[in-house]
Amino acid sequence: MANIHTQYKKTIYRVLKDPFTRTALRRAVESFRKNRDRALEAFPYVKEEAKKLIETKNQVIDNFDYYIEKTMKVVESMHAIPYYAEDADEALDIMKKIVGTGKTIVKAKSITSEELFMNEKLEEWGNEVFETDLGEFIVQLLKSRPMHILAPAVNIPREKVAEIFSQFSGEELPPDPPRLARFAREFLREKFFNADIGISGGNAITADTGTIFLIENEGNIRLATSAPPVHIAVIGIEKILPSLKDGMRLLEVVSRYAGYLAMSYVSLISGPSKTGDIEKVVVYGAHGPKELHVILLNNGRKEAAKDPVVKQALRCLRCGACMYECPVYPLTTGYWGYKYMGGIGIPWTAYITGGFEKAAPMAFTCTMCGRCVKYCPMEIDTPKITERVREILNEKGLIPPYIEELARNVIEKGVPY
Amino acid sequence: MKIGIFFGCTTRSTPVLFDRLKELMDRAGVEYSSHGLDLCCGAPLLLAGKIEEAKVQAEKVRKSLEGVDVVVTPCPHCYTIIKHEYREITGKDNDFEVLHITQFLKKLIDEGKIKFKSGFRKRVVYHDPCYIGRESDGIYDEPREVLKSIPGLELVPLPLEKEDATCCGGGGFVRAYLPRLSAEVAKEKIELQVLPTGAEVLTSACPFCYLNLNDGSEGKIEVEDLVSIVLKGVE
Repeated sequence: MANIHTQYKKTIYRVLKDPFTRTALRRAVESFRKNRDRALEAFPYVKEEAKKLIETKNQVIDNFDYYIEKTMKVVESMHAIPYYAEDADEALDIMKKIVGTGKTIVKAKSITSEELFMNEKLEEWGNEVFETDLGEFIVQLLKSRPMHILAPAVNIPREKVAEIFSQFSGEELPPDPPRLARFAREFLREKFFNADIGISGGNAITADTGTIFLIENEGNIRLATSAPPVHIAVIGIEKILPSLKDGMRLLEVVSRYAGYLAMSYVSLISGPSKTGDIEKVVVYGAHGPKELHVILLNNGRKEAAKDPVVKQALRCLRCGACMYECPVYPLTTGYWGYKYMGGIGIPWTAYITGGFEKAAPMAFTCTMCGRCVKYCPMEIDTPKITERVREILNEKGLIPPYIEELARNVIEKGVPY
Repeated sequence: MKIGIFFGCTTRSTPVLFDRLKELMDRAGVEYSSHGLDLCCGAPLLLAGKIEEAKVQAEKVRKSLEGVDVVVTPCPHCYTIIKHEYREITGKDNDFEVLHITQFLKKLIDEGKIKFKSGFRKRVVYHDPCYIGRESDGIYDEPREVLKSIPGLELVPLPLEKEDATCCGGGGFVRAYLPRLSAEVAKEKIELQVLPTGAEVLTSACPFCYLNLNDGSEGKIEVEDLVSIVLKGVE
């Protein structure tokens, strides 16, 4: 166990010395704050909307079974195919049956897919996988992992991107962002239209209409979920919302808090593509996918919902505000994390993916300053959750050795040092 | 009214903080009993998830404070834990009042017990400790009023302060677990927020903030605890 901590410390200290990460994150934080403040100023009612959304999210988290059943039924009634996966293995089994082998797959950015190690598995089964979000595409070519939930390649300089794109294409590409974006566009365009399957997550799915919300700026999600003949959406059960109206509310809240006046694209998908234009005969797969598979994923979420303190973490909308307002994250980026990162990543790592052992170093990287709480639209109290996770780490004997020693000193000698 | 000063482990083991606090109290003619020298408030237990052990510690600390009416502490962590967390973990109220040193100093100044002679002729920025601020009782005014009452002292605001202040990086046991990360957080705050104000001195009212900001300052700015500044103003 001591080894985990030594290794972690090494990694974090290495990142601290990376001047590029520092500069990139300083810029990112500054522009994020400006954009977020501008968005909230322009739409002041969003703060009230966020409060209503908290109530709605709590209602779903407290009644998972009811909402899962309701969503599955409505998805089925829309001629899509619903699945419920108890854990990562079940989700992957379902995926394997749908996908099979020898397929070309285009993917929208999704942390839920990271949680399942989905790309590794799809490739292992003999498929070719392309991440289509530009940042995620860069990360994929680097064989790295996303370092921010919204900006996965936040820590990678343009020169590095030019280098890996040049290597990949065999063509000398300059470190020029528009040129690099164009290369990705040209390269991926053909993939979208020749892919057998598109895979996405979902910002929300509604229990009254079975509508999947996909919010983005690049347009890649739109292409990945409409060009291929099959669309698979893997969505965590905490993303269920009771109604379409709630989905519209979430759209506003998540966009504003992520610093956008509007998102370029919002896709609302409620079932496969269909037409009745020839003699009123319903034909599926007109221009969009013929098949829509919706996998609702538990994978520890119900367990997290049982803990009265931890369960609020399930309200997370992934707007990323907490990370930019954290004193620590801009220095560590996603290295303070496993699949989920930063302070909010502590409960998500402990309960959803990675387990308590992986969450232990993360829990002791949070200064518990509470600044994230002030900026979280869902009012998630990360310091309180971290305290609770540390309690459980203590029960499991996973407190880092030096911290344990200080605590032991208090018990035995009255003082830590 | 019996006053007890709960020094806390970090103040006790940092001579510059410990000695100056005692000296300031003597100069102000405060009669007090000393506590928290060989008995920790229990913060390390709570931070290490040991709630049961923290309960036992809370009772020990309460016993050591028997007969004290007002507990004054220079440590925001001791302050919040004794004042609020004890009730949360034991379900019982304290028999005493708890004040942070900045609140107590404000009282002493108002009552005329602290009189400034030489003053402190420097531009100063104040860093809000999280555990008397956002994560606790929002004690933002008293430390500022104390500083402003020192002749010659010019208090310069930080771009992010009070409720919106950013942490020094020393909280949550991060300073014990990843000391270099803690110092780096302080350094980043100093570079981005403190140095551009043109201030000569960075002050705070927390032993962890003091140590950590000191580590992060790398000699670019003088770091002084608020108690030390008050003492210099009195001398």
